[in-house]
Amino acid sequence: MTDQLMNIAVPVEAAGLAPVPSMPADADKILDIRNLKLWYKVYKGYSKVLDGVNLTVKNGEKVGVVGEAGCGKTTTMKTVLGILPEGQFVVPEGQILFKGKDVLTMNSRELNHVRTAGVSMIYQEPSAALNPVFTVGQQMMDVIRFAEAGQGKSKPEHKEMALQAIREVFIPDAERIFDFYPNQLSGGMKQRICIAMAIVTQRDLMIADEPGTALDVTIQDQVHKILNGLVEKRGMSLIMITHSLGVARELTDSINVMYAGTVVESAPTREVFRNPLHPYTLGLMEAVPRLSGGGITAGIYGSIPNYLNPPQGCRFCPRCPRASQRCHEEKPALIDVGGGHNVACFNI
Amino acid sequence: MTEPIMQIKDLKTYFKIGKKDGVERFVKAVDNVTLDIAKGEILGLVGESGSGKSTIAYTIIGMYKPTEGRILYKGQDLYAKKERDFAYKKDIQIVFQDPGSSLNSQQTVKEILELPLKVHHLSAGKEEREKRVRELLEMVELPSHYMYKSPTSMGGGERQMVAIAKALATEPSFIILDEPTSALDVSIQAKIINMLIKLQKEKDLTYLFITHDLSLMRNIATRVAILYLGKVAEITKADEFFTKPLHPYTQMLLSAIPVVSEEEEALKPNKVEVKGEIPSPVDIPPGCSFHMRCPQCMEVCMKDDPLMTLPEPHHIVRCHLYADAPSALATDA
Amino acid sequence: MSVAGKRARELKKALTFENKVHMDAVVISDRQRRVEDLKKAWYRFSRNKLSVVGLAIVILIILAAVFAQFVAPHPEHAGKFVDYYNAGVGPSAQNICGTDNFGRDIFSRIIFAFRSALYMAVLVLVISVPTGVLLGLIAGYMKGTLVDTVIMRVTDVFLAVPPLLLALAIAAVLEPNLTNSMIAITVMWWPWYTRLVYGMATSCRNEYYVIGAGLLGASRTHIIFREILPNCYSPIFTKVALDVGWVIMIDAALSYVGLGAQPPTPSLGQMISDGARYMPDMWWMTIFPALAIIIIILGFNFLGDGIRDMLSKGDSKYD
Repeated sequence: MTDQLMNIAVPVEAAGLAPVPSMPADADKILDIRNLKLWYKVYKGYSKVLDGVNLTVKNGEKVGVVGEAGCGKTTTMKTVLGILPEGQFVVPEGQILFKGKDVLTMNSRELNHVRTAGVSMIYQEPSAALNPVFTVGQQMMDVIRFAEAGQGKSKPEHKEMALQAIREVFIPDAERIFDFYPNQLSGGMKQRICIAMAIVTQRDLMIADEPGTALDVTIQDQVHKILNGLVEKRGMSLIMITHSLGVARELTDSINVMYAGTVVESAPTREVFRNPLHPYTLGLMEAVPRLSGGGITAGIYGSIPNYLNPPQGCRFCPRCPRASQRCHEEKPALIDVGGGHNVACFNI
Repeated sequence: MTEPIMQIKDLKTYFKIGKKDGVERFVKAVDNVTLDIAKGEILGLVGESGSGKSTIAYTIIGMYKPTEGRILYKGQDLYAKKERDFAYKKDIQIVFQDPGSSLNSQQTVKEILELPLKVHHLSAGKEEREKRVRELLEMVELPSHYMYKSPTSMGGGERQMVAIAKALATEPSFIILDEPTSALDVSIQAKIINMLIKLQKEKDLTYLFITHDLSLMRNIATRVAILYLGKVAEITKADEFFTKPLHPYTQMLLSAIPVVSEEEEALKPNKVEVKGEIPSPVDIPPGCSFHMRCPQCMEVCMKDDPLMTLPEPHHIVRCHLYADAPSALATDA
Repeated sequence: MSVAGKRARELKKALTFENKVHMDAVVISDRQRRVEDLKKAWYRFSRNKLSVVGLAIVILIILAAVFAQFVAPHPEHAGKFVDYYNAGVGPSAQNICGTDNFGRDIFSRIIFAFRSALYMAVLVLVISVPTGVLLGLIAGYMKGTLVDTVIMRVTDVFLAVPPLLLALAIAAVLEPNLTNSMIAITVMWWPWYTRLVYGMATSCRNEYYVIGAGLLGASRTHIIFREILPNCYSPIFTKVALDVGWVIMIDAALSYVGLGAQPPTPSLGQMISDGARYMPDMWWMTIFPALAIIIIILGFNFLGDGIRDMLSKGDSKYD
């Protein structure tokens, strides 16, 4: 068994870092991102985007990742799948344990297994995720063909699997849609096809990157319902990335709030809305326009840090109304305040 | 109401898309819309994709020519002459949705902001132009060294602020904002909306604010109009729109919004099951264009197109449920 | 070096990187902005080592061509010169590339041939590129009007004729000399730029910033030259760099058949043609000029790649 080792992470000793005590992998968790750091190589040096991301997803759980643009949510997910452009980034620290095994140290065969049978991803723009020169059916067949679940099956069986998936996303007349090109479908239908492609073979984890953002509110509603139903029916776990707190509130069991490359608050959904603790979460809650009227608050002072030279201590410190001396110097770790509620702040 | 600053009368904007079976087919993007906008108010235009809200905006600003109907600005028909009056190009401005493509990525902010000044001869010389550019950046709360940045090195929120500064450069009276914060995050959105409201008060501007985000609309608009497939469905004052929506489409939309608190959940109308999708604006169903998705569809809805009526003062609805109310043609809210 | 070892090295480099740039430094004037732009452009250019090699080759060749008098060991061999005593001598210390059948030093002739090749390329491009670009911009901006139709159909006609044939025909009709072959190549060169820019201009004109400029009341001149044109720079300049290589090759093809620079002025194609007769005995008469063509074209090709990298807006989010 001499597969080429695709080591992205380097044995800690070789890099001259102090070894991290290894913790046993939790059988209950399907995805466990531990202290993930990631730097992009850019013109002036290194853009230290991810600064210790800690995220866990249990089996069958629906987890929301909420954060603004530029906070690193998409980067984190892309690292899980291993689809970041080669050679343009460095991972100084961290582990991504998928079902107990570290994705960053997997060889290409194992990584392929993760991508075809473990994780699936739905993207924000359905029109960009579908190839305009192939029919929807051809693209679905491609997904099945290269997945492990599709090996050893004949073409008519593949087609039946594809049609079944299209029916599951409540698209009537699956046979006809099978031969349609993406531009013949509306935005909502395209997104549903993308969901169908993601569930056509059984996966353990689905990552949905802002699936409803490009769609109208009513269609978004439908898409979310379909997603919800499928995930529950098939016992999949779901990571829902969004910048809308309202969407997260409706769809998730627990929420992770990300800011500038770290998870600053993590709690069951109800808890986050009932008792938000981190200043950033509070700021976000206040900035959301309310259906009850009352005007809009001033938003959060400042802007996201420059990743080339980020603040030494807590990254939210320059914008935080409660910043203290300690915040400038030390990075807060996630503190457990009970009930599964973790906050990364010294001043709660 | 005092003389409205903008009057849209029976506007129709159709786009030809070729012949089928010998009959010319059109995309009826805007299909007989009548709206008035008072000076100093913020009129919100709500609707899903295909409703025609962007087309109305683009017709006002001069991108599309109306197929029928008139648009009166300060009493004058904007399309009276073949080429629009230069003065209107100065007085009516627009802020587009996508800050990435509304600013030329090859220019610096200084060049972008100087263009309106140069075109309308608003500053006498290089130094004065530079001074004015600094003033504009200050108005949108950006540091003056942003003059030398190019749009690609700024985030979406900052780019949008530059776009707003550009719109303000000619000192307009009327600004159209086409989903200015849809592509932005909630905290940046808050900043920009606050800035827009502040500027509106300071300079006594009139806004036509287009968005699909109803929660946002609640907090910024003074009056709201909702469109469906190119026709107005309901127009009324903002608080009435949200507390007493009359049109079934409005109710459907309001019940589908994701909100963040229990109290807001209570404010939403009862959950209306969202049926179907918006049909294509080429093949508009006969009768009321909404009847196929309407939970309260009646016989008459499938045959006749409803007229605009006034069931309550200042509250226009176009629905057969209120067909008995007085007609809305004489006055506009 | 193993994959793991390389990654360990990368990681160490990342961890020990000292951020030398002072973060509070902001650009406060137009001049500073231009300097910053140049620095960043160089960074993007030099990421690909081959581009730097290309740049080096091109600079060397240009310098050699400009200062041919001083660089060539025997400058007088490029003119009327015969020395039958030294004719047909292979590569040696005195004649790096040997001598030809008239005893002329091939290396010196190559250097002077570079001069006429570059002269030709510069003149052809200086005339055909602005013409082609201007026509493309106008046609693209006025798409759908008569102006567009006229310009593009004329362009189509020129593009329909096989380029080399067109150049040959024109050069043959006119008297064979350097000027006339330049005219021939120029005439068939501009349509490619028109076509290139036309495509870009038609897509640009639907961008919101162009529409916005029009709505604002900006003049058409402004829109074409200040809004649309800057977005076309990348493909234009990349093509220019690659085209130098192409023009030189077409010129070599023309002079191979006797059109183009007339003897005794050296030209690469003619040198190859002259030497063909003496193959394989006096191989140096053909091989070295051929190699020279290859090197000059490769150099410009690599340079073109670098220019494309430099001008394309990549991850400039990290300004």
